Amino acid sequence: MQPRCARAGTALAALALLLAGCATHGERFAEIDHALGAHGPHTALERADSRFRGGDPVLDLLEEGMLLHLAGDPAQSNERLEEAARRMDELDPFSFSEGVAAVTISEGLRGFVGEPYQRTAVHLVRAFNYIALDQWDEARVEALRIDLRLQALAGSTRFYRDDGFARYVSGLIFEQLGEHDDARIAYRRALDAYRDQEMITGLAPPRALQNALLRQTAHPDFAHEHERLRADFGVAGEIPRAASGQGRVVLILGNGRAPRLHEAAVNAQNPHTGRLYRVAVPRHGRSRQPLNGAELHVGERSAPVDVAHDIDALSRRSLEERMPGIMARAAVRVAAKNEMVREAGDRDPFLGLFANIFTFASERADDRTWASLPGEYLVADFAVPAGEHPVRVELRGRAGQRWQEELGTVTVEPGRIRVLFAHSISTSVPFHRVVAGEPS
Amino acid sequence: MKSAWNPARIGTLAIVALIVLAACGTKVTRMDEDETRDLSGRWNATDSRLVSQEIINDAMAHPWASRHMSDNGSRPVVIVGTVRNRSHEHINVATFVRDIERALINDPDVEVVAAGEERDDLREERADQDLHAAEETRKAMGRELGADYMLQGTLNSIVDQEGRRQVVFYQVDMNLTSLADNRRVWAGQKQIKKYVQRPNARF
Repeated sequence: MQPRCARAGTALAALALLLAGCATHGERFAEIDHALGAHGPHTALERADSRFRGGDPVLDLLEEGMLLHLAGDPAQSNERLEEAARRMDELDPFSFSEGVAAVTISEGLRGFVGEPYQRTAVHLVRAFNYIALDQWDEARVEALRIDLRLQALAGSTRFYRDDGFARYVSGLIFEQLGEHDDARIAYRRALDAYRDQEMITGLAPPRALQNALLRQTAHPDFAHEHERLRADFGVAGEIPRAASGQGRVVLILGNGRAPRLHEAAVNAQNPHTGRLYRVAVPRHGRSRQPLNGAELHVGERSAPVDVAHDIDALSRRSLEERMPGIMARAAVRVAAKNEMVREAGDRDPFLGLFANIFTFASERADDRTWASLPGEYLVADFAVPAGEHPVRVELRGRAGQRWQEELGTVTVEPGRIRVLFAHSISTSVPFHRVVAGEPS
Repeated sequence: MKSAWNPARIGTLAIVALIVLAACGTKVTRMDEDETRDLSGRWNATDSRLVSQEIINDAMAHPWASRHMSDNGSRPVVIVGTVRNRSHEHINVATFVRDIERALINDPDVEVVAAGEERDDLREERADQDLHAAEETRKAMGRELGADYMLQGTLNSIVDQEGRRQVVFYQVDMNLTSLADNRRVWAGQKQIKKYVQRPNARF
């Protein structure tokens, strides 16, 4: 009996080791995610220092890049995100070894290259960082990279084939640099993208985009387009033209965090052979947006803040699209693992037991996702006279509660766009301006 | 029965492992600065060098400096302005701007004055000398050499892509403008075209 006890002990120890080694990204990230939701980005970064070792290198860079962005360190954030983008490009070509590993061992053994909307978001957040650093030429580079990425998706049968919000932000960048033709084109593409995806995302073109388009077409050369847009947007009466002494304030407001992915697993045991079976697939966690709406006040003027980018919906739809492939690979994996366990068991029952433990423990869902992205981006954009203005935002919570947050005083220069970034991470973390260098 | 793990086998495995590990280590080889090796298809040191050389050759081949000398009786003074990166890549344009500046400085027919942050540093130093330096060694404010011409430029790119293939076209435009009357006295252009094919699969 003693050798049998020793074998059982060895098998249990091996199982414990395998289970520890097979921790998913979601399990590793849980502590950082909790710290972000409970205490904010600085505490999350402190936790990340110790937790980001040994995880998925691309995802760790993405999460760290976003945490640094939220913590007000745009330069460091951009370094991490650039490195993440470079690694994702390297991993982009199909890998034979990872493909085989995904259908025989675990889905999570494939290199993480991110969903298309997440890859656009890398450049979007980088553009925000450059805007925060007042490096508009560098932000323009990110706008062009967004365009290249979205061009590659054109004609795709997947639902995400353009990005209205990324196009809108690109338009802002061109407009700030005085490149009005490029700005107009970017805004038009943003409108096309919103209309194309309205049925899926439920997002109408935000009023900030409508105003930007009307402003950019308020010229006799575009009179026909201008009138058509006015009719489409239901705008009656005179549109206040941007006067020479006016500038603009744009608020980009992050709402909460993107949904996490969790594991949904089915475990079973064959009563005749005692063999263990397991199928694990990812499922979405709950939505994590604390805000239900907002209104921006600059001096005496106010404008509604509209949802412009629904990352929560994109994430859910993206997983839905991927699920048939995930299920198919899971089915192949069950068959392959079963055959492996049977062959091992035929040679040596102990080897069979070990193989069964290995195949059972290694079956983990691929719950990798960029979870520190906001669940939504909201945007407001309107013209104000040049000068100093106090800025505050009125917020509405999911439970219907209303409160106000001061965003300090901003200086608006004539003909220039002043972009403010703010974020409401959760109900526990105070609402805050997210980037450094802004007067408060 | 003979053990499968005899010392000879273990030794062979250890040697193979060592060879594999050695092959996986970081390897650095010095390259000649003129050697071209494109890795990513992005703008690189070779592009920067080729552009600066072409621009310098073009700028020096034109008679704007000799014309200035014959009209004014003095060597033209040039200040290097900004070169805007309008391409789809984050490019450090400072390298070829420095190359161009160096070539102008080394040309006996042209004077070059400091610009940007370097000029600010110099002014700060003069202000500091005003307070702290001995009078006989102090350098006075307001005695800078005013530039006659400003060198400016842009770097643009056009990308045509299909699947994993890209044709990238870079165009660098530099020009020299008279500060007195905004006359363009020289304009140079250099174009670089690259075909980039990325792999469809990896091991």
